[in-house]
Amino acid sequence: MSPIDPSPIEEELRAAFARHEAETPAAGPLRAKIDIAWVRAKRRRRARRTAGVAAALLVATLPVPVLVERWQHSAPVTSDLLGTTSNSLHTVAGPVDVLLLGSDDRTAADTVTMVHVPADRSRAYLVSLPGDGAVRDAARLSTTLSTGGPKHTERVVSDLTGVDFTATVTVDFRAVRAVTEAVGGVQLCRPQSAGSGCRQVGPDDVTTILRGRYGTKNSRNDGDRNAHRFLRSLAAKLVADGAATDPLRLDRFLDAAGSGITIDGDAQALLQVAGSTRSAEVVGISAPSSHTLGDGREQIYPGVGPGLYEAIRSDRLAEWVRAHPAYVLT
Amino acid sequence: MAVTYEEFADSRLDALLRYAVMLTGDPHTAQDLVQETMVRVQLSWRRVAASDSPDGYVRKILTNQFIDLRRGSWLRRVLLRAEPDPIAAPSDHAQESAERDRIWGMLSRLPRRQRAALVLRYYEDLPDQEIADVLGCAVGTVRSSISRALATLRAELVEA
Repeated sequence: MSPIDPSPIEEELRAAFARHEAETPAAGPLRAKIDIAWVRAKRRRRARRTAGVAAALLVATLPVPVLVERWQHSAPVTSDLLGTTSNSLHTVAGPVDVLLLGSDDRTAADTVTMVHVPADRSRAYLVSLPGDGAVRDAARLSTTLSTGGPKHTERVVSDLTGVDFTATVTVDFRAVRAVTEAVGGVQLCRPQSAGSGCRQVGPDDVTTILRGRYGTKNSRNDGDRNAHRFLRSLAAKLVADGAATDPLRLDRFLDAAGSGITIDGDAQALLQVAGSTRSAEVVGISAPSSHTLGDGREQIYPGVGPGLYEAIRSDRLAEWVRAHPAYVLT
Repeated sequence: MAVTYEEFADSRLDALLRYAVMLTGDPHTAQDLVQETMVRVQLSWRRVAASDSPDGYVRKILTNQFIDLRRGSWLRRVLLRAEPDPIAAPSDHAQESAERDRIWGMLSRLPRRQRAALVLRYYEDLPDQEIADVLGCAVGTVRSSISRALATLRAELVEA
């Protein structure tokens, strides 16, 4: 092993390497191939980036477990992708509340949703709040985002409901539009009770749908229901598309999440919880009808509000839902 | 002024290809490996360019990709395609070179990490500390895996 007196085997190795240098292919043609592969990779990445954004959005609402795990561990992944999440920084026990804001232009909160994950992690509740909802200072809920940012919206909702949020997640609709385009649109189907039938919806419908203004002939509840259905179909399509299980596509997930999603608050806790609700059922809650005030603003959960908020705070939403079936989106 | 990807590729692609040939023992597999690596490098070029040594960083990516085939599509494209052709034996003076090349064939049977360590020391002529950096392990680990690899080769050469 001494460098002064190299053993024959070491000399043979050097000689073998030197001999085979001649087999090295020319760099020129490879350079061209790399450029072609790069163009393809960029195209894939664009699709992936947007897919990642949607997946991140769905993390807060729907089970896309692998993505969550990937995100949580952050790149580069060293452990098995499907490994346990138990080695994360800290374990979050008890119920978790997250405020989910969807915004078309990052100024107005077009959708405001309280996500409640109960202590038993059996399901996730999505409680929709109307964007035109009347909040303090004669404001509308949607405009609180432009006046004070996500933290301000969170404070306003906390004041209204008494719920403490672990984090506030802001999602850019442009990202969702791009994803919808990337997956070639999704089927939006009405339940049989509403006459059934499906419609192919594309990127141009995203804002209308997510704002809850799509198919609102009967009630505002319908709009929220469509928004939820849309997100569910989109998630299903992403999973079917393999975006959730392809490590290479997941690779860019962190970047993607950064560009379309903002998290204010304890992101670690949020992601850990999302990871543990992997197969959870999602229950959407929305007011069956709207009550407009004289100034055009809408009353938020008139009548049932205090009971609903109390059920969230005490982690007894399951009972509340049983007692108020009309508020549950199907 | 940070180096651009184009400058990097112009100046370093040859060396990377040579290194990949030594690692994989096969020009086709080497091309695939370098291509996959360079696409990855471009995807995260800002991070690569900002590192202390873009060159070392890329060598590390390439080496890891060679060693850890579970990551990424290299596995599917190359490993699952088929066993890479052994060594394309040159047609002339075949007998003599086959004899001389026994050590080359043996390299392909070594664990990938060990082979990488041998290439880094005896082809790239890196000091053990830098080899440890590339492989992401301790210097002691580098030394022990090299001496294990050499012992394996020695034993096989004697045996044959």
